[in-house]
Amino acid sequence: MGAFLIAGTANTHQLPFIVATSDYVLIGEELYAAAAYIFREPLQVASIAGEDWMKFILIAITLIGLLLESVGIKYISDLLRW
Amino acid sequence: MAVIWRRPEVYIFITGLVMGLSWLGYFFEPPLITEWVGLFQTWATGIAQFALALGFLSADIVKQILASVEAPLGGAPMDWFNFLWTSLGFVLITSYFTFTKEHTGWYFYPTKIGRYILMLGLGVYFGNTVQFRMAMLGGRVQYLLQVFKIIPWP
Repeated sequence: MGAFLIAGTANTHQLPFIVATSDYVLIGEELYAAAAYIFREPLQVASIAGEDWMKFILIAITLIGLLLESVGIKYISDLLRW
Repeated sequence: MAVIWRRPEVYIFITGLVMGLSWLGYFFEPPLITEWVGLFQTWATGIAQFALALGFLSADIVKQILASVEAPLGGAPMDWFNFLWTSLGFVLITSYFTFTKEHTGWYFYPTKIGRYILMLGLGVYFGNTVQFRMAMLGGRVQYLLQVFKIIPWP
């Protein structure tokens, strides 16, 4: 037919099958980001931006923790055990 | 009877019971105390939301980060490989799912590697499912061949 298929899901159990059967895939949160990108609705864009900030913070904590823990300093893991 | 009141779970039960019963005010609007019921509902919902947020923070974020950063000190080389794979994989895949920063320049490489790691995981999931279903099909075919006496029973 020459048609192409775009699919997307936030369900992690169905994701591998959609990746295997579709030409283009929106993986998990990309689905919501795509909606925010297309409609530019402030609430959706702000939600994506807020989640991004949280992700950057978590990446930073993980990287710092990874480095410190690898040399035997357990500061981050002790902090997270509160 | 007095022993019951020494058990902390009784108070949790009663609190939950009162919180649940307070919602009756939403449906029936009892006279005179309506405002107090409304206030209590707001308070109860706030407490429940706070407890939910704490549970989410602990289970979905803090414990996962903790599992990612705890190094297997004194472990075998394979333990270190697993540790680095999961931890760096988490960081790189999370970087792929950031949308407010463009994936260009220095940020291009971590997101690209993150996408490859993600695809590797999804491929493993897919392959595992296919293998499992093939194994099930094999069992069914073996059974049918035995029923029709094409192959002998064990």
